[in-house]
Amino acid sequence: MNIIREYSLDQARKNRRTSISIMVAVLIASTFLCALLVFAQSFWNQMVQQEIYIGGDWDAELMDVPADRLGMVRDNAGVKAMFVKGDNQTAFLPEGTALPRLLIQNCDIGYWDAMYEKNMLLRGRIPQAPGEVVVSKDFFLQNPAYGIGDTLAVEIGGGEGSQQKDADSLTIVGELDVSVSSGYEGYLAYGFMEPDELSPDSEVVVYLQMERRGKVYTAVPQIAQAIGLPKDEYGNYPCRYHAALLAWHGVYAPGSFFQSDVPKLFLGLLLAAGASMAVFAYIIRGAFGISAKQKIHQLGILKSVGAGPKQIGRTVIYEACILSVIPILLSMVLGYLFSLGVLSAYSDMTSEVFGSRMEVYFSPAAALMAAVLSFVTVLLAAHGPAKQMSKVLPIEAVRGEQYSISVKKAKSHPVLAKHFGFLGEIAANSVNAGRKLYHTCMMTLSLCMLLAFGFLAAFTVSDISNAQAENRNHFDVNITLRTGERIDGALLAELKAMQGVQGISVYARANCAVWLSGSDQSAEFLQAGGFDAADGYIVERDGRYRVPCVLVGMEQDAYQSVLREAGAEALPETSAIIVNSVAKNPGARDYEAMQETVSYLNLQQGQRVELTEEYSDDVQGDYEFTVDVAAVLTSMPKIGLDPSFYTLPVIVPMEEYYAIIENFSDEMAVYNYRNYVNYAVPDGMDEEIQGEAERICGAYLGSSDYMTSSKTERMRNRGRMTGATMFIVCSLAALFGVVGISSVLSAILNSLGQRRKEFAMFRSVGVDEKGIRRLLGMEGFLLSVRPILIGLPLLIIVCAAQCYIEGVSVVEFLYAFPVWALVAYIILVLFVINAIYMLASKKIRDDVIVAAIKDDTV
Amino acid sequence: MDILRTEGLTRQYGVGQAIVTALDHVDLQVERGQFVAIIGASGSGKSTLLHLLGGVDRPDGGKIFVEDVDIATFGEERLAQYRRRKVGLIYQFYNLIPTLSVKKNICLPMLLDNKEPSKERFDDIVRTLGLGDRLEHLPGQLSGGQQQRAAIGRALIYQPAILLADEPTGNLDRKNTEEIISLLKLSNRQYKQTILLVTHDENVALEADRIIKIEDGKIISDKAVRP
Repeated sequence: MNIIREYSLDQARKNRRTSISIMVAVLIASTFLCALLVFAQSFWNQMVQQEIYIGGDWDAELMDVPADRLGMVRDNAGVKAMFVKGDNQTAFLPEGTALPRLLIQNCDIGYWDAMYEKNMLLRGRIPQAPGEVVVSKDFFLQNPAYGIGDTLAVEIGGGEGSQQKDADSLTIVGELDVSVSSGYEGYLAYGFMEPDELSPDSEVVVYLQMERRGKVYTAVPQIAQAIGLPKDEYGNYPCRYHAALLAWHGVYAPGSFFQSDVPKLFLGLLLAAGASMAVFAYIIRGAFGISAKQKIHQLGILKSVGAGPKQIGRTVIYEACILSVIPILLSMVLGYLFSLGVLSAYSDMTSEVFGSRMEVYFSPAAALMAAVLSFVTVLLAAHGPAKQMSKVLPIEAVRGEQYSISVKKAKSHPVLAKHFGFLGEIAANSVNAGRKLYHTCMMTLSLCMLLAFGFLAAFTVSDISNAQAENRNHFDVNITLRTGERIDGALLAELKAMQGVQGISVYARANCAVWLSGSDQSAEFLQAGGFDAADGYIVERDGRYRVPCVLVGMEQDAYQSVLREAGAEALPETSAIIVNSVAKNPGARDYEAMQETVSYLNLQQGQRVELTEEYSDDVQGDYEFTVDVAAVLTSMPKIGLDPSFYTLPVIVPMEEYYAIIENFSDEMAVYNYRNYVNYAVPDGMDEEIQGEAERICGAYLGSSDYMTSSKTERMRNRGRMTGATMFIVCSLAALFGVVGISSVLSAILNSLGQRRKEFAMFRSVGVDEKGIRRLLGMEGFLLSVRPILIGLPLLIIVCAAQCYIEGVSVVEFLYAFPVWALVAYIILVLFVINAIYMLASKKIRDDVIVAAIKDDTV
Repeated sequence: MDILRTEGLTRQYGVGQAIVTALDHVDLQVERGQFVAIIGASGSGKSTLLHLLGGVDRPDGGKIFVEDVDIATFGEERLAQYRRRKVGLIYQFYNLIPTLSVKKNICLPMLLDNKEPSKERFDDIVRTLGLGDRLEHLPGQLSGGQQQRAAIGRALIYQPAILLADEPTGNLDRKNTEEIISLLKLSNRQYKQTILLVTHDENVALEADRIIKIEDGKIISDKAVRP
């Protein structure tokens, strides 16, 4: 074996204390990095699985595909798998059912396997043969005589407009948690189809999984072209992409890379990994530094007999390699177990908030990546000491001059001298002299404190801010109905008739815009900066300004009530109420200052305003419509909608709203048809009302078509989320803490080992046992306060910055921040370092004076 | 013929007002095969001179010619090669690597060059040093005299032209001192090596061919003891 390698191996074996210290630091670092990758991969996997669960496992969708072209799609080399849905049928139910028909969508076996509908199965099974159907839950609710396994004698009608009916029978094999608006007068059902048996002229929807997912945005239009699908009015083929799933796989539509959150999350992961590697490299570097300093005499001997600088550097690098193999391998197991524990606890705390648990996912690729990152971290850490050692002059190294603890200039410490006498001054000077040795561990413990309590401060401030926002919210219970179509009137009527509520608002909203000229700005708004100050919100082109608007649909009675309060009357057609106010100081930090408004536009009752659905350049539709201003308000009615800065609310009656948005492109339909129902309820009643609203919605809609929340539930969820996130942060901070304590232990042992002679000398000149204890106690104390003195001011700066950004006062912060936890941490650090110091100094206290004085390592 | 020559060799330590001049423009010539003793009081600069000649320290001024090549201009790698192959350094406190066996400590300069000494050469040195039965021991298992012999073995293994010994007997009793000096003289005679020996023991110095006395970083006397 090469002598340098042999030497490094021997050193690693013989210097157990420093080797263990390095191995602990490497173990924690690689465990941390491994856990970080497990977290990231589990999160990624969770997101992908969630997307597949709610949206299906497909990459692209081709609409209106003639059945006789399915073979061409299936045989395309770029297509991995194809699923088919369509051949829709209407089955007329026997007499006696509440609604007269089943609206059946047929799906092939691949579709049932890959798509999300199977996840909505409440009971039974999915159809496996033609003639089998699963029906919506409202069918069973409204027709309790039927059950799973029953066969329905039906008459099957063809597609839309077909009058022909054929007698048939359908077997109910399951119940689905889906619904359809009562306007259709039927129940939603899903059946089974064999694509090969479809009539050639029927049109179906085809879902594709691509061989090369990255090519989907170019390959699918080519397939559409190849099978002869026509383009729409915008020049696009009738295809759609599973953009959310594709984004998680790193595939983006041209131009949408920066709009996606996934690259930002990936960048965040890279930054987190990079920062962790840098921090751990710094921490481990300290451990290697101590080890190298311990060996400096031997390295000097090696140099003096001819070892070159590279060979000396290699001793540190080899040591790094030798000492990192076992910890890195072990960290794969520990990292997985740590992640499993932390993520399981996190899931326990958040599963009710998210509705699902996060499964721990750890692949060999992630293990390899973690091992590589850990090894790179170790090499980075060893590089500094290696370079340092290779530069030392041999004779200085042989003498150990380079790293012997020495005080170049003794400082006076009057306070310590006054209270603890001469020994107090000695203790302070000793700790000061060993400052470099303790530098890394002190920084690690400070970082640990900053990490844990910095995050805690951020959550505290965020909690205060959220609580303040919640207090300003007029409504206690919020319901979102999102069926993608007009909401069933019966459902809304039932929700409006809710007992025990003090106030209710129902509204729908859609984004739109108005093009105005500079002269349309009010004088007050102009004085406050006008359109030109609204960069990013208002677009200027050729002297015209595109002002964002929100079209709000209100129930007729509520709309009339607002008009009455404004002393106005509805206009016969296209009547609109405009809220003509804008924030005077949108950049103000203070909430009250931010709420101050001025008149926005020169608008008057009776004026006609021309609006467009194209509120942004990437909106596909360009429908334009006009409204007549029935009333101009100075503030938004309290309906639970808080428009963004510079957004002009245009309130219309609900019927008028629907009449307008039905002309909008389908792109935003899923949002535009949403209805928002808000309740103001007596204190303590919000969860009860929320439960009742859940029951009513559940009777009409599939569970994915509505969402409810209440103040109490939100507060509880915030608490859970904060607790869960703090648990992860504290777990990671604890890892830093272990490294910090381990390096403190190593540094203290090393420092005291070097100073045996010094203490023996004190004893030889008459310092007694009590004096030595006092000296060591003082040193331990001065050492233990150091990380607190470094970390506390930084923590205060972080807290102050958080408060300043969120506009939270110091009193509010101190009232909510768990100061006791900080005090407990400080006491713990003081106790642990002092305990280590006193235990480590036992040998010094027990030394035979003459033996220690004779101990000359040079 | 000079094997070693210094011109205006200067070494200072410290900064500002605390500067100490350890060597002050020292000019020195040593012929090949000479056995030179350097004596002087503690702090006179004798060890500093030896360390500069051995390439383990860097001068602040002047030149050091070894076989007519100025080693003061060498880069780190070349200087390491010089220490490995051209000089052998012997210290007062042996300075063996405690985790390597005696055999490996002796062979260290060659092992650093990824070479093994010839068996004859190694056996010859070990026999001369009387360490035949201690080769697999660790330095900590040897007496002081044995450790110093191992250090001499290490200095001899590459057959360097120059041996530099810094108080090699300073930590030994009379019997071991005599044995070590005999070994150095034997090496000087047998292998024609040039030896510079730093000592404060006048009896030891009298064993040399030439005695140089240093005081305050300057050579104050240079006498030939025997031709």
